[in-house]
Formats: sequence, structure tokens, C-alpha cells
Amino acid sequence: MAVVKVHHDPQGNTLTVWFGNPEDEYEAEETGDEVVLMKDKAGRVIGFEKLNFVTPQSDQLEIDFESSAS
Amino acid sequence: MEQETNAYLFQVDTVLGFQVHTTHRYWQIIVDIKHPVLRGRIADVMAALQTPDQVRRSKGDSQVYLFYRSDGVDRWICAVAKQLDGEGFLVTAYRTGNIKEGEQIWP
Repeated sequence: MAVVKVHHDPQGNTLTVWFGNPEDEYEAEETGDEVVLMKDKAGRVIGFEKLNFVTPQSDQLEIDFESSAS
Repeated sequence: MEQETNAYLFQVDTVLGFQVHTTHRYWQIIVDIKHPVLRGRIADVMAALQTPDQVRRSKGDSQVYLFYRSDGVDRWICAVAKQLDGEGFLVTAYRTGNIKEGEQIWP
């Protein structure tokens, strides 16, 4: 079963999303837009980290998941 | 146990004139969740903060700095730190093959 992992860090203001195995991370690629792409040794993107991800203090972070699978 | 995990794992002086620290608990978040590839490389992250090759300021938050130190040919360890009230804390760290974030402020 595929697993997407989402981690919100309100202290560091980061949002980390993994759609591959985090243990497969080989290195990261900066995009220049404050998003860092995590790649495996083959160069495939397996996750990303958004820097300076800020939510209004009064809001809790909600994750909305949808799948179009029938 | 709670006191131990919230204790500082390290606190180092940076070239920008402020100190950056991280706790045991937060370092575990970085190597368990954010970037497991940095497990066992805490000394390299500390070195990036203390003796970087380049420091850049984040475009999104002027209090966030990215410290880069060479980690082989065309590779860098980047330690991202936020400065708050004169004190800095580690936000994340990763190994990268390119530098694109922010604007260079040091050297």
C-alpha cells in the first residue's frame, strides 16, 4: 500500500511530504522557490520540504485528501 | 526523559554573530522525519553553521538563514536556521547538489 507522509513543523515553519521511502533519500535539490525536492539515488523525486510554511496561529492545519480511484 | 530530549544537543557560534542551537528532540525530528540521509552527520551540520563557505538569507523570511558548506565535488551540506530575539535555532538541514535559495549575504 502506498503511503504519503505529511509532517508539519510549526516551530521551524516547514511542511515535509514524503511519497517515497524517506530512507531512500540520497540528496536534495533546491528549486529557488523555498521548496526542496528530496531525491533518491536514481534522481527520482520522492518527497519535498516547503520552507517558511506558515499557518495563521488561530488555525490548525487541516489536510484534505481526495482520490479519484473508483 | 522529557528534560533530556529538550536539552540542547549543540549550540554553536555562527559567522553572522549569533548562536544556533538544536535540541535532542528536534534533531531526531530532522533525521527521523525530514532528512534521514543526515543521520550520523551532526558534526557536518555543526561545521556548516560554524565555518560555512557561503551564507544566504531566505527570500520568504528575512530571519531565516541558509548556511552552506562543501561536502565533496559540487555538493553542500545546508543548515537552515532561524534567528529570533538574537538567538538562532536549527530549522532543517539537507545535502544538496545546487544552491538556489535566497540571496548571498556572506562572505
